Amino acid sequence: MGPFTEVVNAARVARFQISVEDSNIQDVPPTFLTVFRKPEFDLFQSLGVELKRVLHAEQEYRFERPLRIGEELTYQCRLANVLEKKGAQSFLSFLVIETEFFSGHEAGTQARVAFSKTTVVVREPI
Amino acid sequence: MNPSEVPFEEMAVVSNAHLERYAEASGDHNAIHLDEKVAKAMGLPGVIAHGMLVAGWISERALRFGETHGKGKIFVSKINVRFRAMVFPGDRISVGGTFKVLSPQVWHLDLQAKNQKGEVTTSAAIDVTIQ
Repeated sequence: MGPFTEVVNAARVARFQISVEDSNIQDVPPTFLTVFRKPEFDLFQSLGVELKRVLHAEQEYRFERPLRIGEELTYQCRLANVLEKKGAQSFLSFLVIETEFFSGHEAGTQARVAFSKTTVVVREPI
Repeated sequence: MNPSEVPFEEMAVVSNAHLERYAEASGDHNAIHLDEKVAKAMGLPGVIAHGMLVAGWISERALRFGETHGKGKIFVSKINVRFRAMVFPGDRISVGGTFKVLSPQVWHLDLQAKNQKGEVTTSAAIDVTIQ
């Protein structure tokens, strides 16, 4: 899905830092990338997955360099893997979503700044 | 080289206000973090903290440790977080673990967030890089 473009907006970073009681050792905290998860939520919706059934299982971020205030990021995400299991009380679907973040407008032609791998588990009643 | 200790430090006592602020700031408005009725209908004991909020405390602990013990400007170049147990309002979250020096530029930390019962709720592998 995408590409999407967002600015690492100073006010949004400040609000995020307050919410995690961050002491500003990095200008942009590493977990700030979570604010760009909207395409993931849209993906769940397009798959017919209700958000309230989604639990975050694992998250990985890799950075080539720290994010900078005011920079523009272009990103694309894809559903990388789906694994289904039958649990004791529910059907479990593990979804893996990978997102690549590039600086500037053109995904693929600019240097990759960051990579995100999100694993969620969706619990559906049997 | 054997890993050395990153002492456990209390990061927060989780409150509903944390979850409301984090929902607004992160854009994750999943009702299981905000609405007791929805959380219970989903089979949870009550509202649960956003995993990424706890991940934020863990990365903050890594950066504070790196800043105190390293030389120069640092950043988290890699973080892998596993959400192992749910975190609830009222929980007292401490973060600590171990670290080892991978190279003159990179430190690797294995950190855990624990609740007041000493249960590991969240674990993380983090690389802190000196710029």
